[in-house]
Amino acid sequence: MRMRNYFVLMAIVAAVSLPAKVHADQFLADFRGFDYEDPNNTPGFGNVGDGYNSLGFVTQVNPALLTCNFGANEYTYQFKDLSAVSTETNAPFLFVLYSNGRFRIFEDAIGGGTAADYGTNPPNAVAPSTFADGTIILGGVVSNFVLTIDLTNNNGSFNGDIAFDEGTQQGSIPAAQLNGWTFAGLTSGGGTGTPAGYVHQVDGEIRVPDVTPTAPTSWGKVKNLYRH
Amino acid sequence: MTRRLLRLAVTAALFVVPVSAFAQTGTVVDWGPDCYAYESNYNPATYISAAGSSLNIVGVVNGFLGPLGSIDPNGGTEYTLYMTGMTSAGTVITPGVFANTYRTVYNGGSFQIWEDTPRDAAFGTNPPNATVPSSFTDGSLFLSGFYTSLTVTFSKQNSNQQILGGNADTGEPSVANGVFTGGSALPLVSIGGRGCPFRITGGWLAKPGNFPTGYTAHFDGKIDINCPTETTPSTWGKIKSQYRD
Repeated sequence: MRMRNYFVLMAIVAAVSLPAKVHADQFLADFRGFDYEDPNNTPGFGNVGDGYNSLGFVTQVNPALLTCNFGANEYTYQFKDLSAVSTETNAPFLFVLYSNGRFRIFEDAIGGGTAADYGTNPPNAVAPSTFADGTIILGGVVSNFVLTIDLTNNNGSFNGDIAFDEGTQQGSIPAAQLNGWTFAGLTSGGGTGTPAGYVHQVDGEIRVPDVTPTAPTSWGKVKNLYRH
Repeated sequence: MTRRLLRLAVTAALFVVPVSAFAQTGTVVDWGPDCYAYESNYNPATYISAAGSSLNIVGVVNGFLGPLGSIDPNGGTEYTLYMTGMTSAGTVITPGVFANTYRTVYNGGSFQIWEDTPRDAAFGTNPPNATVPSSFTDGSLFLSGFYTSLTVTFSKQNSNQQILGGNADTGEPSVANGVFTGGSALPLVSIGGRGCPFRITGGWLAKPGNFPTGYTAHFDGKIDINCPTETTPSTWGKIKSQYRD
């Protein structure tokens, strides 16, 4: 009897331990672009009330989740409507926390469409308009968006959650993976080719939670796993 | 007459100076989801790299731009990245209210991009292994260079203990910080027979679950070039003669 209790205990411990397996995330889309503030009510970057925007190109997608023809179409992205609501300085780092915003991926035909153009000092006659044209293939609400900046060199990163709720390919993403997230490195200075009026070069990804298949079972079946 | 020539010379100088400014900048190599880091003495539970730990990075290139833009890295030929020779100076944690920030400077380093057919790069697990770095360093050398350091910075949010995506950067491009040195594509990123300065930078993800077992981080990055326009030695006489009728 004592031996049986031991095996039951083992089964419980094992069952509890199994979910501790590292949760995996899955690649959805790779992007590269630049960012700028609009509105930019206060000189400097990341002040409360300033709006964060990023434009650029989607350079690769997970073909299991999105269908893209990079030979025929231009794929662009846009982060918008993010407003800085609070900051925390932790020298040399600055954290900027934002209100909810929106992320979108656009598909625009290379032939007959409008080639994306950053221009300078956005918003301008071509940006964001040439990045936000064509068909929205995926978009969603961005929340928990936080930007980290090293005040010594103006480099940093951003993170945020994205709940996908629009786009012609929204339906191709399993429901369990519609709550994704994003991260990107932000770089300023030499070599980045940052157009005048933009602040950082942005290089990052959209990722979604991986769906690990599970099967319903009973305690009896679990215990049987540990019986001779 | 002298005043006129002086005016012309000054005008000529104004035309010359802007031309010698850095003229070719921006991304020339890009990689995304298929790039991971591993190191010899890193604690994945604490996210701390011990001083002296050796960092290596392997990846698959997914984009060439600028002077390399005519090359398709997504066809039958595979272009793979290998960054090596980086030694950790130890992780420094800056505590904060919102998040603690982890910064590690890895000193030294070089990169290689290899051109290989067929596509055979395989990450496997627990590198170095049977395919890492070997399947990323086979074929022929396409491009290489050195840099003096790679700085990795990311944060851990205190409210939920979540690791946030960060940044990796070799710093401002300069001859001292790193230049292209070799490979069949070197002439495309050189000026006057010398490799141009570059920087390697991008997003760094140490969040568990985003890289294969045994790796320590995912690096979505790129190489940016900062190449001056070539200049030709001349004389004031030649410059003045260009402005004479």
